[in-house]
Amino acid sequence: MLYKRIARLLVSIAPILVFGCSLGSRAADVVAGPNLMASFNDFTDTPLIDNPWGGVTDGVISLRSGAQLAVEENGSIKSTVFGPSCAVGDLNGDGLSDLVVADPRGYFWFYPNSGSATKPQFTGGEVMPIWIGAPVGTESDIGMMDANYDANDNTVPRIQLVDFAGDKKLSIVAGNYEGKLFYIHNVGSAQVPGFTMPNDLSAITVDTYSNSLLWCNFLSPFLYDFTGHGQLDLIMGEGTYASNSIYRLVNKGSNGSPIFNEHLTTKIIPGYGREHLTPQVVDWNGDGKPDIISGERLGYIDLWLNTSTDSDPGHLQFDALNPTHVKLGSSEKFGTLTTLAVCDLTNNKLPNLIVSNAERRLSYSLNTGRPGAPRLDTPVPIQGVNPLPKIYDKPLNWSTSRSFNLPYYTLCCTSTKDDPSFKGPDDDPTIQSALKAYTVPHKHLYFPRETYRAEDTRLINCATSIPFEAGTHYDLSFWCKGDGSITNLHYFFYGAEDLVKLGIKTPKGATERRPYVQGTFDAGTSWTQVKGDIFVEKLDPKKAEHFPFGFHIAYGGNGGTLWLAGFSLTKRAQ
Amino acid sequence: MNSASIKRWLDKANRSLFFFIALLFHLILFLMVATWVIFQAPVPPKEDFKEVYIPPAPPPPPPPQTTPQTVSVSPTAVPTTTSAITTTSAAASFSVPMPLIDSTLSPTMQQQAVKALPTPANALAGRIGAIRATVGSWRSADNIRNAGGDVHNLVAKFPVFLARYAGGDWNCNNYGGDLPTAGCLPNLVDKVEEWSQNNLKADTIKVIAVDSPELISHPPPYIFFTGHADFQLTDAEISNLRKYLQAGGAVWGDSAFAGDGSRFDVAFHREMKRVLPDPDIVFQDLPLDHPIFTKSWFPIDQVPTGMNYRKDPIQILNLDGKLAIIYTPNDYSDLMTAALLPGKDPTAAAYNGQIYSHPDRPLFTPFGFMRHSATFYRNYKPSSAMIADQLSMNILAYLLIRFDDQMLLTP
Repeated sequence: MLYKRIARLLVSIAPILVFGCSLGSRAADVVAGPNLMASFNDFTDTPLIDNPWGGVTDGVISLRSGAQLAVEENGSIKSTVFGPSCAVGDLNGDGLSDLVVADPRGYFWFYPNSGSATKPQFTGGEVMPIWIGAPVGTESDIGMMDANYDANDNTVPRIQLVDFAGDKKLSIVAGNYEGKLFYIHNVGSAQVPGFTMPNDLSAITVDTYSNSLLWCNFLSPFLYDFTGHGQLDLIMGEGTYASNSIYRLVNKGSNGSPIFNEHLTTKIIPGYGREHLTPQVVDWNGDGKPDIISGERLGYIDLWLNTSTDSDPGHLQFDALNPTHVKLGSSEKFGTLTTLAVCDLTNNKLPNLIVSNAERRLSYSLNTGRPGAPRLDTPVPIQGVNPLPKIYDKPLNWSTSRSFNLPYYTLCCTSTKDDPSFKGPDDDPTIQSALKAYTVPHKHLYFPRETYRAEDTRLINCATSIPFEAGTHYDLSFWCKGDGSITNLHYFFYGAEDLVKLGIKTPKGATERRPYVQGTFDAGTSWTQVKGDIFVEKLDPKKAEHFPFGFHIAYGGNGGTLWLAGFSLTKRAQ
Repeated sequence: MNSASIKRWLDKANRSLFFFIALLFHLILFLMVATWVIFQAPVPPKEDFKEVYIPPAPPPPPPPQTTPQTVSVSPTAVPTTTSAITTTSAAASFSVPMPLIDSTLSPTMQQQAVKALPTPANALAGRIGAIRATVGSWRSADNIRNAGGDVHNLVAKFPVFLARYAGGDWNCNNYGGDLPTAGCLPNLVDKVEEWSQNNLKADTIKVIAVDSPELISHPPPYIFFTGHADFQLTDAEISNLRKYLQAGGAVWGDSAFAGDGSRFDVAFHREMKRVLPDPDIVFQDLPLDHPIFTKSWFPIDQVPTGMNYRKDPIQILNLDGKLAIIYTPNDYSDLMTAALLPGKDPTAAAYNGQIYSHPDRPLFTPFGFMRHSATFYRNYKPSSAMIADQLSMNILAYLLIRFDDQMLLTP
């Protein structure tokens, strides 16, 4: 009887007990975990730096760094930091020698000389609308599995300014990492240079081998009239996975439409172990014969004097094994992967040198010798003035990437320190700083700004490795604001595809296997909080319990500015 | 048993997974046993072969003068670091005349066309005993006697050695440690055995130190040098190589940086001249009418195109009129890292009478070559690998048979 009463009691209070447990459970739900992105939220106290799109850092001309795969002495292929290539000539008709510099990422820069005939002076650089990587706007731009992918980015151009069209204007001859040779015609005037890129780069590509074969890498071209008859032959250095040499390619066509191939090619200077040669032609010793001077991988500047006694001015003869190491000041070694430009910025009628290397700067070595007996001073970095305001650097964890050909895109930090008008979201007064991704507004003197297109995706990457737990919900939250021109915004949490395959619950409840979690959002002209439910379902029980994920934001639009702040990712209690 | 019951049992068997597995197993077993070569079929002498007296060769002409286009490399130039270009000798003038722009031949091909090798000297008598012992370690006396100078009659078994030499990156393009199981030499052996229908076989493929006594006691037809870097042989390596060459051995060097003028190229020429320092013994371009091109396994009418389309002349260095060192500057060893499945090459039909319709095709390619085939490893493809293999087989066969005429003359 007693048992029956106890049983009835339990039955009667059961709903109450269940409700109570339910309440307890809900109370546990509202307790959020720690912010897994807390360490990526600090957008203050970053250093003030020169805007890299001004082309000047710390008062000297300095180009963006870039790396490309290159062959080392032991035959291994490794990512290698390259320096810029420089050419000198009067592009704006003011009688002064200007600089055109190609940085290893593939951007061409114009530095007009605003000094005098004997005292050059430069301010900042302006990006020229030239791109000799992959065709712009095609899928191969971002085709990560494309075998030519490496060649699309960081094209490491080597350039020369030369009038190959015979129109009294300096045009550009360029080689690139792939081993392609480009004749880029100056379609502007003698006062305002102009360059346009065709949709199909083959229109400006010149073959160096039959059947358009590419048979070298890091092609470094230099056109020269050896015969005195006005015919421009090609002198070519290289950095191929092969014995590197300096070749002469006799031009069987016209200067504007040259014909080169292997049958017209002579190896004039075997490298004998010297690699990544960047030759130029100059009468160094004043004997009236063209000599060859070249930078190389190890940082020497090698000089081969032409010892030909043939009456034919086109006959070349060099002591290939024994070049002279040209000294600049007391040094004969200048970093690695030296490039040079023989020029006369100071109007002393002597061959002076601009040298550069993997350290990105250009340095001028003044010739204080006399004709036929050059004496080069210690190179001095060429000064400049950055025309763009300084920026607060982005935090180390954050970076950007973009379509290869889009310049002026910058990621930095902003706060009331540098922008008094900056104001965080009203709903979260703790936010006093933000990431700012924007296209630098720049007064273009010579070349129009590149046109951004909606499909030119830009990425903001957060170098994190958040350990997601399978079968768990996470709450994502961050604030964003745009200027009205930002479109197609996405956030991604992405894993290593070759390590894990993840089951992602879609909004419709289906399960997809994919290595990332994606969400879309909009950026209005006022601060908006973006929220997302991140859920990763583990399908393979053999896989680990935790999956490291990274985070990035992708967006498009024609230029524009995007602010981001207040990133939060918390594990939702079960 | 009536037909109905037979049909019922067959149906039952057909539905049985076990039946099919067992059938497959037996089929595989059958194919394995059926294709197992239990013993090598003897190769009968050719019917038209007659043992004849071969008159001695005429006296050799004076050694050829170095042509202006040949860049002489100092035999004494010894690099001290990998960075410096060491040139201690007198300046080697490199005269570059204007190219013949109307010619259809590349300069290198023109260079080959005008060069001629010296007539072989008959100065082997003092070494013929050691040479006979060396050749005898690869081939039977009957085969030496009966092959008739035809490489297609060769039957040989020999070691294949990759040279481990001081200083350089000798182990590139071969994988598997001291007993390479993949890479250029294992691939070459596979092709040689396939193309010769196992008449040419390797008894071992291994890495061997150049100063190892095994080079003398178990001599290979050639010891294979490859690498990218500068190197300098030790005195012991020099001495051992010289002894091996005098006993009828050969060195095959292949530059892993294609084209002449690489670090390996300079070092190989220099070091081989230390091995054979006689000033009358000089590297010469291999003419296109040399038996390696014309009378070996595969007829080849031009220097095979190597990595990155380099096709500089192959060079040889003769000792007493017989090839002792062969140097291929075009990086065939990188191409040969592509393992090719059994060949169906049309050119192979010339000697075994079979009708082939398909070129060789790749079985395995190292990832790095795939990754960079559009940029750094241009011309890395099955057809190029096959031609490199064919040239390699020609070289091997020629080295196996090159002393036959001399040995037939001596008891």
